Amino acid sequence: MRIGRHYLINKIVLLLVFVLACTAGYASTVYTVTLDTSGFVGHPAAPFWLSAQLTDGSGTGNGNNSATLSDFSISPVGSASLVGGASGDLSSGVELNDSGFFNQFSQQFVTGALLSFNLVLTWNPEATLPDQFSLAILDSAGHEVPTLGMGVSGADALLSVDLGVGSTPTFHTYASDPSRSPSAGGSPISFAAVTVTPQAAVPEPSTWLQLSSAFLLVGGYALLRRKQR
Amino acid sequence: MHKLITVFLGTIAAAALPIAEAANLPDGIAQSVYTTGLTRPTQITFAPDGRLFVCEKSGTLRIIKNGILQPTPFLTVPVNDLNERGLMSIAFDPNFASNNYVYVFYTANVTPVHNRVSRFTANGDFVLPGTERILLEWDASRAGYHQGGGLHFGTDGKLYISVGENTNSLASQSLNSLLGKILRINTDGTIPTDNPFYNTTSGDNRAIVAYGLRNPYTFAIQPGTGFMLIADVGQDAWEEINWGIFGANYGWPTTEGPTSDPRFIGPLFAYQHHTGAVQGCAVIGAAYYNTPNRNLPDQYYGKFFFGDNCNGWIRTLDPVTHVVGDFATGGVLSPSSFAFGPDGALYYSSYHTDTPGDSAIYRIASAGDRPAITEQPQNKTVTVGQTATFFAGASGAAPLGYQWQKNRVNIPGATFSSYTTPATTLADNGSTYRVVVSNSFGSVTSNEAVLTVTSNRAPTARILTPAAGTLYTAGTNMAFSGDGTDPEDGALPASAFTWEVVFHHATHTHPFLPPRSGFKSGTFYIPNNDHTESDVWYRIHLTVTDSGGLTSTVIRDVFPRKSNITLNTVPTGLQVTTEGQPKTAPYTVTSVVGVIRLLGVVTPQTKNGIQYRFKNWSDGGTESHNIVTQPTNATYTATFEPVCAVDVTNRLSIIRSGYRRNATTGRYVQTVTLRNITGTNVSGPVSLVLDGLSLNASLFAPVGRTVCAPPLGSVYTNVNIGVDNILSPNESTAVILEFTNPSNQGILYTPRILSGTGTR
Repeated sequence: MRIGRHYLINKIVLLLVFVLACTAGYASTVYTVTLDTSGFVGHPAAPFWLSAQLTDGSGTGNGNNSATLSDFSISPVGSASLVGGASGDLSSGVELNDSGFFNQFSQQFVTGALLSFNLVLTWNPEATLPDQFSLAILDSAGHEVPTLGMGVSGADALLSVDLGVGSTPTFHTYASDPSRSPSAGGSPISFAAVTVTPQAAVPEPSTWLQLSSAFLLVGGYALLRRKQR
Repeated sequence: MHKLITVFLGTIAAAALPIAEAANLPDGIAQSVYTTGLTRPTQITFAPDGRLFVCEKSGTLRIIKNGILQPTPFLTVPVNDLNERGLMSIAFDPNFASNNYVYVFYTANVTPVHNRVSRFTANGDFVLPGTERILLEWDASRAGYHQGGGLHFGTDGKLYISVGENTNSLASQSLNSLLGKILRINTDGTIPTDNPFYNTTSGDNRAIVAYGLRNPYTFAIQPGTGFMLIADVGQDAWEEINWGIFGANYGWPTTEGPTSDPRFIGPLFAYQHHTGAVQGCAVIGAAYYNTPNRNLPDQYYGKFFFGDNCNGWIRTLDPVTHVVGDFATGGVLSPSSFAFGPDGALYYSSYHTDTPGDSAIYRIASAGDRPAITEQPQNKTVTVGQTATFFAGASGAAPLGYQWQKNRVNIPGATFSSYTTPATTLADNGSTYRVVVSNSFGSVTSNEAVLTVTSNRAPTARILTPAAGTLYTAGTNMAFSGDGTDPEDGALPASAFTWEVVFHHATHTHPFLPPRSGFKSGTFYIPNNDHTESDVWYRIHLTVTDSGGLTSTVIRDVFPRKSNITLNTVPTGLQVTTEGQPKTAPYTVTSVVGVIRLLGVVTPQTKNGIQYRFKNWSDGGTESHNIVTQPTNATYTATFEPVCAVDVTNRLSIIRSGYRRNATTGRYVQTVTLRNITGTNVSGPVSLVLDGLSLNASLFAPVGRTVCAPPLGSVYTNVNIGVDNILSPNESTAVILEFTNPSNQGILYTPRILSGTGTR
């Protein structure tokens, strides 16, 4: 009984050390964002652009949040347009950092396929106004393809999310507005709202370091206990 | 300010011109004298049996049968006939043939003096004694002016009454007063339950069917259609013809003349006093040409006829097209009332003088081709050696020829419409003069006028007091005295003196003291509570008559002392009122010393986007109060305070989203969600204020900037909180903001929430 009680205590201590070590390194959730672009094929308002933007709520470009987009399923046409703290491309992945007030990535793409990519958001709240990440499809005139977001948010976004508000992201997604045509012409485009599906958490590099430290701590503690015995 | 024109006296200034000029009428229509010998006729009405009833201001109701004035009045009611008071009108019951009911509007000479509508029962040409039944009585009459006094039956069998505001202009807008209204009652004096304000007023006020009138002296109701048109005598700028509409508010004293103010019903037709193609100063109605028999051309059938007491014209108004047309463009002598006779001719009463027996009824009808006398020559009395002039008016196909006769013998060369004798001799005494008017269709001979030539020399009248140049103060007594001498009689006795006082305003006059005889001196009280204009004065007339019947008349004008009243506001430029009429401060008006003026304010009111409410007057008076015009210039200042919206920021949670740049517009959008976090309602309208908005950004389409609730100068927009205009506890609402931000820099601001109707 005595040995068994010590054994149990040791196991509990080991678990606590591990948990504490791991939680010190937050791993952001990966979201898969998907949009069926078949409705865009052959539309006179083509070509179309995927536009992602991140605005800085502090107004100072403090760079405390970012949005990382990767694993794109679509093929680019031409080169990307980058504004402010935007970098990367469809093949290597895109990062938007709020180092400026307005940060935007835009890329013309081939329609018809299922548009999907993985999205990782950092989650640092601002003091006054939140940073906001949003997506839209632009037509050949550079104008947003109409969505039902106009009536709610004042813009034809596909998706918008305020960063650092609450414990988990609240994604606002919008389908096409069947009553309005694109500015570049043609009839209204029909598409369903984007889907946002959470995937497994992806540890960040710092998180990998913290996880390794946790294993080392646990290993060290186990070694110490064995010597004491 | 307060034009107190009334109707029937607009041209008493023409009292020295008792001869009617020929009316300027359409071809083939002529005016003729129908009946003379009347005194101060206020209204004429034809009985269903064709008799013409004439109201005389002094309380006698006369009958004219076949053009002949009956010597005995139909009715005499004891009236107070000061200024515009007196016997005003008569109406016949729709069932007059069977019940013999007549209805009369008059100023009862009782204490206190007040207006009254009574019903009497007729018996032939007289009223049955003891049959008066009082149907409606007003409160004490505060002034002698603006009585209104029209009576007509509608096609609904109800009795309609037009009532003036009795110089209490604010009463016109009150449904708790019978002044400045159109009233509607049953023939027994009860009040119809379908009157528009029956359920929202009480007592006699339930009789009100329309309000906001000044002095609706006359009106008319069209047979068949029941269309009512009201002739509302205005102040010093506009005269109005108004539709009679149940529940209508015609706007006096807030507005006069055409208006787009949605609170009021503007006039169907209005004309001004000194500008425009149609001018005048006292509108007189009213008669519809809808008689079974027609006399005037068919183009006039169905039209509403109205005139102007001051300018002497008659016009028509089409009740369907609302087009106003000329009829008599001049030469209509001071009309006080119109009526169409059973013969289809238009009749009007002429009230051009206070002199007993000098007023007449005129008839306007198709002239035919033969000549007709429209103005009979009058008797003359002259001193030997003087000349005498006779005049006759005539109508008929041109050219008209005139031939004057003396003692029925043609006078060589006397071939014009007037004739002046050579210097008279005693031998001419008793001669008669008449004129034969002829054209290619025939001739007509006028009445004979008698020339009296006397060796008697005319007396001399002299007004001793007030002395020339005397100024008066309203609210005081004015003493007057005079003497009269005659070459034959010497000093004339009091019985030879006749005094009359006429009140003048601008270019027209009002009755004041009618002719009174038998005294050499006296006093009269100058009222201080009616006319507020400063272009006024009193003219005292003294006529002395010697034993031979010759007269001499002198006048003395007494003008008012005046001072200026200046109305200011703090802050400047706000609106105040005088006698209920809005004026923008600073406003200066010249006023007669002693006259009571009613000062007021418009509150709340908005200027430059800021709402203000009244705070106080510099003299300590209430919001609306009377002042007495001082001997020296005086200034009164009304102080206002801004009414700001209430800051309710701490009663709401304000959740602001991040920004998104709309690629289509280039503007940044943001959603702001408000939630009431208290247990009580937040009342709208609600505004979201953006204090300290970054200079690089601008709120797109803001409602305005804060000018009242500090910090000032911040942009704001309004927030929709639903049709109930209330944000109840835990209720939330959202507003989307749009910002222009061409430099794409940060957009920062501090939100503030204001509520209520106050200024932002």
